[in-house]
Amino acid sequence: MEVLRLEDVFFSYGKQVVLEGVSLTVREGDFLALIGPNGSGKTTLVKIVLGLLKPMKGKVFLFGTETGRFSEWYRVGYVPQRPALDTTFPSTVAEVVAAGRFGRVGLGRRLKRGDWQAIEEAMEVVGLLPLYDRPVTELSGGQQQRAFIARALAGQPDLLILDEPQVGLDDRALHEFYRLLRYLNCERGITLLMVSHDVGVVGRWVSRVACLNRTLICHGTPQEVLNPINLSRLYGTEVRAVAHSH
Amino acid sequence: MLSMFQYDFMVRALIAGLAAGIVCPAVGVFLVLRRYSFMADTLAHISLAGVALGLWLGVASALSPFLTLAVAVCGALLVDRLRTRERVSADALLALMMSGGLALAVVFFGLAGGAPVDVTSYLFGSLLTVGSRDVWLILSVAVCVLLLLALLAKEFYYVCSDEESARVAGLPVDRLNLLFILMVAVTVAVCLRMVGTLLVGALMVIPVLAALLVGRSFRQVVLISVIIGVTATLCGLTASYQLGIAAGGCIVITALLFFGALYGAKTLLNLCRRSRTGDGSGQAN
Repeated sequence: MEVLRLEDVFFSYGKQVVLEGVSLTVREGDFLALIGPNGSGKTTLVKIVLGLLKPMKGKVFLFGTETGRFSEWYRVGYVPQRPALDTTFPSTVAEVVAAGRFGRVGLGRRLKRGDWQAIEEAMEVVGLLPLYDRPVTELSGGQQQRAFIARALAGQPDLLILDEPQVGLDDRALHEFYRLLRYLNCERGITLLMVSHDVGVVGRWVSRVACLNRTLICHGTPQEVLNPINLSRLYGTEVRAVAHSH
Repeated sequence: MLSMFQYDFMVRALIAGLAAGIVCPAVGVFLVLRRYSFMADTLAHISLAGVALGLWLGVASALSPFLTLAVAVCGALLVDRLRTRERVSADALLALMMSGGLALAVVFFGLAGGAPVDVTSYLFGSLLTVGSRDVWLILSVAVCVLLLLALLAKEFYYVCSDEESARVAGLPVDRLNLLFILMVAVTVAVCLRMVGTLLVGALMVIPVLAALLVGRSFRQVVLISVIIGVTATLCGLTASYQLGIAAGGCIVITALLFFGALYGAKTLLNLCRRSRTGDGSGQAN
């Protein structure tokens, strides 16, 4: 089943073309990494998928419905780039995670027992249930990242979109983070779309890779895509994918 | 001290003060956390232009508060439009609207000429200007605003903490932002007479800043802000009566004393913790 389909998508900021004729399909159960150099249009593409920006040309379908008419946004979980989040905000872990349920509950309605069960389950999946009442400002970088993943999971999404979630994580936290994503993908059946700049590591964890630099340069399994020729086309210089050891 | 309750104006001021002390910090929490602390001041200056316009046009005193409300709402709609469509930066927008509101107020007061009104009571607040109609207006607005806040608390919280994610979740962020700015505008407009144009913003901001020093959750910050707001308003009004000075100043000074006391206590606590642990770090990782 198709979860996401982009058809010939164009986007520009003023005269600067950022995306040109991008077509891409994400199927149920995929774990897709979207890689590319800085300014390649990765975040713009994610914002178009999320309905935050409208494509100037082309169409985007979520679960078979065009994003302009799509109303089941609770089926899409979103983990934004870490610097976009204000971690000085006075919130406990429970308050942050509960927010992820609001889209499913509806305007002006209170969270019921079933909602709180989903919220606590999301916290348990990421291992933060013991820190229920802890202010997020007192968490480490890795724990904060997990809190925001739990927020996205609280809505029980079918598609989880993560925008450069690895930023600021050390090697150990990064390894734990990828293990969590693989668990969500394989055990929970959540389709994942992750923007990444970490060419060396993603290949070990994801099922598919899409290389974007204004246009979609290549798309396939990590074995098919992550070779020196494609990476040179993507980054415009000689690049080799070096796997990190953890 | 209880003798002050024998005066009707003082009873009215205390009822209005209680309502303002609850509603101002409750709204202010969202303003401060969205980094729009000067929004209340801006809307207060625009509301002052509404007061002055009423004087110039010779609007009956019974209708004057409603004209002030209408001008505040128009100002709020303009601020929201400029904020969302013209992409003016937040600080520049607030400076623009604040100076514009004050300039209009000065011009309208000037055109009103010899109107029998004490302008300073609108700038710094006064207990005597709070009539029974004002009390009903403040109470009605406070109840409506608090009900809306209670009903949409979770939505306002999400928009306030992460607007982009709230939008992705399907919340009507633009409509919530517009509703919120209108709530701030009407709150400011009705509290103007008692607290004063120059100080109503402080009643929205200072209790929240004090609460942020000690609150560990969003819920706690809201609760502590309201407790400080109510206490500061009631203490300030009592001091205003006893000392015969403007109410707004007394209320804000009391709120500042809360902030100073909590800041001092927190600093001392941190120093004690550091000397006990000896590592200079108070954060758990």
